[in-house]
Amino acid sequence: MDTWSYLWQGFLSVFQPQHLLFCVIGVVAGQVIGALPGIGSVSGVALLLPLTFGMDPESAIIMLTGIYYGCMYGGTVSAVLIDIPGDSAAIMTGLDGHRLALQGRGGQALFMAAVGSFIAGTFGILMLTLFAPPLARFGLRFGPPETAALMLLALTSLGWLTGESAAKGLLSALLGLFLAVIGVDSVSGRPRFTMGVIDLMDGIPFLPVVIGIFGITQVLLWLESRAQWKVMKANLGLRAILPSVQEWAVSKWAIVRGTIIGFFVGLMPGAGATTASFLSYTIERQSSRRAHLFGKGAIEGVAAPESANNAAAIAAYVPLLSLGIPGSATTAVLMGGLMLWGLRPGPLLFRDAPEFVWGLIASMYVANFLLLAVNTLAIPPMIRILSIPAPVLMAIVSVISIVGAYCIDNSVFDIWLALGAGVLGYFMHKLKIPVPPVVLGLVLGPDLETAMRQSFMLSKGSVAIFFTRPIALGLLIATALFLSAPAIGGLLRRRRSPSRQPAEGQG
Amino acid sequence: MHRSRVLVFGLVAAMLLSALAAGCTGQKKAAYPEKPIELVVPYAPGGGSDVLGRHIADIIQKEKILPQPINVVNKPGAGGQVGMSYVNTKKGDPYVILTFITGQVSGPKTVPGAVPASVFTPIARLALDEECIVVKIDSKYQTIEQLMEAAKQGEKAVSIGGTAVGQEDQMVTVMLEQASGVKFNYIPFDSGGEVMKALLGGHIDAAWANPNECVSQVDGGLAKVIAVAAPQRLKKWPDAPTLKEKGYNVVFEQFRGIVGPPEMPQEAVKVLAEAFKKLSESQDWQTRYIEKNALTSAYQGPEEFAAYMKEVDQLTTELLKALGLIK
Repeated sequence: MDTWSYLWQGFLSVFQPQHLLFCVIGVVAGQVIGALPGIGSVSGVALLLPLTFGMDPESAIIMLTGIYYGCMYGGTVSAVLIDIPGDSAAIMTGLDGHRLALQGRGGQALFMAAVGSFIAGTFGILMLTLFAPPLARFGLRFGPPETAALMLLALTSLGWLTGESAAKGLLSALLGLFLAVIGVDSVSGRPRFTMGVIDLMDGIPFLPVVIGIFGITQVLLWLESRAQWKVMKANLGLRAILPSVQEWAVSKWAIVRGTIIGFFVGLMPGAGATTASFLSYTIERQSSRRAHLFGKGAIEGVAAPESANNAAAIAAYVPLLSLGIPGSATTAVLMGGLMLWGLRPGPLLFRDAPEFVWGLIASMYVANFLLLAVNTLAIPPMIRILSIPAPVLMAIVSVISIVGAYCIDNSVFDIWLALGAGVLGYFMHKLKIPVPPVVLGLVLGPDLETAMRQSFMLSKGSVAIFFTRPIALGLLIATALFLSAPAIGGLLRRRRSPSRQPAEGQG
Repeated sequence: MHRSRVLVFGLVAAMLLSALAAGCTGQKKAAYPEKPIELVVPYAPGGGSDVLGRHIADIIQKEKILPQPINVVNKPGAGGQVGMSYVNTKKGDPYVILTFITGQVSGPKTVPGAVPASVFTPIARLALDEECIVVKIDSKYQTIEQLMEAAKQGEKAVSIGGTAVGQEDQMVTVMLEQASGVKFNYIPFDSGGEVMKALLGGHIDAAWANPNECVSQVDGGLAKVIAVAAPQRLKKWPDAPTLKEKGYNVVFEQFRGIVGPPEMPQEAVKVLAEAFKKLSESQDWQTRYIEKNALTSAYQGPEEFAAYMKEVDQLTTELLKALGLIK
């Protein structure tokens, strides 16, 4: 049998009423779990895993995949509507998404995110169906030096997140990188800045920080201002939430670029959906003619990271199914689940249990369609969240932030961390220091450090390892171009119009 | 007045008696366990300890080995320390147990203020996980002799990947270095999956892996086991020689077992040890957990397990000293 007939069999299996039901339950549960801050896809899948023990493996994996996938869509909703990313991959979505919501275009933002996610997801699943083994081999070429270079490239996004003052942005980023250094040193095994606190040994987990710095901070700021949401009365008809022709035009290529970047970043070990969304946002802002609109409500700033994180989520299945190596934390949990049913992901799974693998792949196509439907049809009721009176909404945000922080690792320490991050975020707002660079430093810092030190261990201290490997070199050149682009651009402009130079210098 | 005092006395007496009676019958009826047992997995979902915990919960319930279910709770962090300190606070509680591996014996030694393994109540050892040396299928080192020959060419001439610092993979590296006199370039990764990925990508020359971490890749024809640090060859890959038969006296196993909190009641320990014995003898356990994960089934009851843990304690102390991680 060839790929298509296997896939056909897979679809026949998914359309059995029982499997279809579990697919629906999975995507809806995932959507809700994803929208709740803290309970992201990893803990969502881990929490629901025991419920699947009584099921047949196909129903179970269909449901769990639906949850994983639903989370990627769900994280967007809370990011756009209440500016609290439901999951780390949605941080970038909130930057412009929430601005749009405040301008009364939250429906358009969610619609664009759903469409982008759908296109990216479908592209990812098609690639998985057709080219999984060669793609997995490509992913393997990313060793420590390539990963380090990629993380460096993603860190250059800092330059575009710094807001009004470069110094303040840099300060924020350095704070993030410093926080990332706390914990046991991955090479010498010695604790750094842990002050004897056992909970700090693994470093500062970024999810509680994200919850605190977005969720708790917002509650604190509101307590001070007691402001009502300044939301325009949103028209709740389905037609009123359709993006305009112009919005489609600017988002079209953002979705395509986001999809491709997300998918390839997702193939690499450790990088994942969060890095993918950072990178695609940066590239979008960098290549856009409307760069000045980013951070103020540019719809392509929603479309690109949303497409990227969905494509990356699917890409994580490529190494799982073809090599037996999980590509993300969530797929690692899924792999644990598969072993419970006596299935071992890896090169032999396609031979030993084809009906299972193809059922899984077919269920992704179906889940993707279901989520597109859920996420467009449910926009009007979801927008109603914005008309909840502010005191009630803020009380809800406080509760779910704290519960969410605890749920990640069943840890009370994480609650304190979230509260501390909330206070930090409050003062950063007061001092007009941008928040995203802290999070970015904290997310990318540990991976960058580990990969860099592994590279130096492999090369026994020689820097050449970064320049003699084509992919690493390419990524470093891209980083250098990114960093120097504004300077070079400025220089060129100055040459062309020397007369306007003083005026520009003032601005 | 007098009357009411009698009444009060009578009432109190009746209450005391009934309480006593209830206590007696209660004690007779109280067949442990009378409520669900919390099984703490001090590592993240999806890892080796989690897979163990979930198989235990699943099979004990399906085979009706205990009248009450076992609930798995993940408390990951600090190389198991977060979960260990949690269970350490549950002194004498018969309803909390903890998955335990070699790393939880060695890990606390390197952390000031950590909860040491010796405070816990050993209940049962269930399995042994062997350490294998794995290479990519088309590696230039097809045998352990070739690998060792290359390693002799100079300090750190051969890179070998493993999971984490100061844990099993690095300790067995030290044992092999001590036995052979070579010095490897040990590269630590965050997880077994990342080690395999670096190996298959050709970024490292060889890797340490538990059978469970490499069975997909080995059976799938992507990688090859060239030696095992086990006392005898593995049933699963009989062609791979032991390091011992190649003249390197290196035997290092990772155990997987279950312990209780400090001062756990003896009765509970007995009931649970018996339950784990039944579990480890069940067909479902043997095929679905032991065979599928390429483990060695190795049940030990509380006393034997306690003695075994002491041995592990001594061995790992020596190895960590050699690594310079403790004094």
